Amino acid sequence: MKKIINLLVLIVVSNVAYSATVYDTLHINKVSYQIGGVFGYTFQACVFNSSEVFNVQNEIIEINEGDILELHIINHDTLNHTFTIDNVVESNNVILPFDGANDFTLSFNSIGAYRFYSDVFYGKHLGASSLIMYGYEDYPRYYWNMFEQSDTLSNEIAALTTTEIPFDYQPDIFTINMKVHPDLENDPRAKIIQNVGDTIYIVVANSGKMLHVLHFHGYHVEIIDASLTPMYNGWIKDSFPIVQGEVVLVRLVPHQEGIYPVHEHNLINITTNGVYPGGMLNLIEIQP
Amino acid sequence: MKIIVLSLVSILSCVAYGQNVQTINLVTQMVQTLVLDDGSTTQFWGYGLIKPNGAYQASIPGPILNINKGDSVYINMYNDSPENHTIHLHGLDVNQANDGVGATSFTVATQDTATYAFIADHEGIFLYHCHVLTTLHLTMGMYGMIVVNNSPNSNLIFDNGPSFTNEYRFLTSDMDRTWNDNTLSIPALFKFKANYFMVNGKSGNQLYNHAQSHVESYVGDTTVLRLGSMAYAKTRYIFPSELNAKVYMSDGRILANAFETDTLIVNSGERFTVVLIPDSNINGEIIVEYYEARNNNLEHTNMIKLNGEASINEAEVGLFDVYPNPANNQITFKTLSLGSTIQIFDLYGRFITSIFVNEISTIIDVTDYVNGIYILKYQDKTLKIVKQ
Repeated sequence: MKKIINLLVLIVVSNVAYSATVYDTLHINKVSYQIGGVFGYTFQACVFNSSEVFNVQNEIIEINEGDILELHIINHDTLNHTFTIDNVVESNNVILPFDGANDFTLSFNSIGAYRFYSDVFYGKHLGASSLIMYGYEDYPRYYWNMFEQSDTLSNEIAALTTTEIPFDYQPDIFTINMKVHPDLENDPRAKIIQNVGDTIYIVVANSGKMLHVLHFHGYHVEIIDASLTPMYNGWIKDSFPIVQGEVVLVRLVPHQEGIYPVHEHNLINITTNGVYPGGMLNLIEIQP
Repeated sequence: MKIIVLSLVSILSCVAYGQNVQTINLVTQMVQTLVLDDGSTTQFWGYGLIKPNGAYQASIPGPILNINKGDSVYINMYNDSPENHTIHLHGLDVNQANDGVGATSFTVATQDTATYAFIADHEGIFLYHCHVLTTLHLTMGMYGMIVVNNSPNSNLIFDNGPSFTNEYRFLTSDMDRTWNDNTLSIPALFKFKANYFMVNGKSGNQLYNHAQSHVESYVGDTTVLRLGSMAYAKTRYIFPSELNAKVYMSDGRILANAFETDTLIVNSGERFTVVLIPDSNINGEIIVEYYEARNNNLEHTNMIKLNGEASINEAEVGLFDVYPNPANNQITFKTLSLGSTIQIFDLYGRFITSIFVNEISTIIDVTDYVNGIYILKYQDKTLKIVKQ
């Protein structure tokens, strides 16, 4: 009898955990930002942060499978924004400027990665885009949010002097999580440090304005879910595209130790302001 | 000394596990001459095979390296150039020491020789390229294809997979000619703008008329195409539907869901194995398109002649001639058979324009055409024309 009671208690506790409500707050901040060290330059950035103190890296939210997310969003910008998740939250909401706020209750039907963004031109094209990871809580998870920018264009967008991407768009800085090589080595969300045989999940998002292609050295990965190119689901690849607005979830089970680059294979993207190496060049470190 | 130690470790590990031993001797050279489609020349850097007599000559792309699954492979690279280079074995998942990235493995200095060693665990298509100042060195021409065959004794694509009767390899790449013309004055690297799109190092008529680049695939054949891309862009193949193209492998792995398609996108660094089983003997072309990655604009188109021995174009020489093709602004149409009407349609069969021919030479203005492929009809003959 005692054993049965214990089991029931365990089931109740696990069910409570399964249906937890998670509360989080995001702050929309927009500033001028210097990136890329001596080879970089200043550009305009708009991001979702965990506080009203600007951090160039967008906040990433992780919740467990079954959790409900109560999200409070405060807009510190001087312009309207939205909070949009494709197929989950439509763009017809408005978060008013000057500390206006909205609340969102989010539940997800399937485990995976969801990209959220501000669906106004000056939001998404200045970098206001990040990820919610729903599930996979028992595994190490990494996030590579790819975003390229032109400093000239970013100034024009922020000044509201343009409302479209020019046909001859020529980005000069290429970031992952708003960082460039070698600064990416200091981003624990980006640089993978794991062991041989581990099961690792990596979310790759394209929040930029152009096609990106990622190439893994040393390993192949299994594509679990490519949100806009589902043909790739289940393929084992070392190079794969992430089209504009797409989120691709991949699984890596490293078979060998070593330090290997992972980088954009359209190689203009592994430069910073025209200087190599830089940009979208990341590292994987696999220990025995 | 570090290079020698790393190489020895790799060699010993390969000897322990590999089956057959393949040794390949490569050279790297700079300031080589490339003849372009328009007859002009520029310079390139590249890889070449060192022949048994010691002779070598770099090419663009580099030589295709043919090996077999299970082989222990040793690539000896002699650097006959004034700068450091490496070989990155793209997709072969080699150990760190042999990965060809200077910061994490080693570089090969001027007039030095080093060995890259690995075991070819998987059949399929792989690539190799220099990984020193990669954005520049690769587009200058330092790349090539590696084909790992399933077995030296079979023509299977993979174990229990389809067999093939003939095989073709196509590697796409691009070039910003201003870089090749003056390597001492390279602009900021993000300014790369391709003005040449190449298939196996050739473009335009140079490719179309190159007999070794023609695909011969008739009823009864099972033709395998091994496709890879080193272009800084999206490339797209368009296969005539009669070929019944089916994709079986990508990046050296078997696809769980092989699929039939008339079009196939190959992005930078990707590889695909495609099987053609024609249901009729057709003439024409396999179209290869180049889309600029920054705006997804179709900027270049190449054509691989299909069944060129009985090419529709050669059959039509007596009726009319069209040039240039591809064209930017205008096409000259020449014929001795006057009194009929040229009709132009898009690929969806939509009528674009018609021009009555009453002179030997007729100018077709395509300035306002959207970049892409069009069908030109004259009397009972048709021809694909390309606006770019």
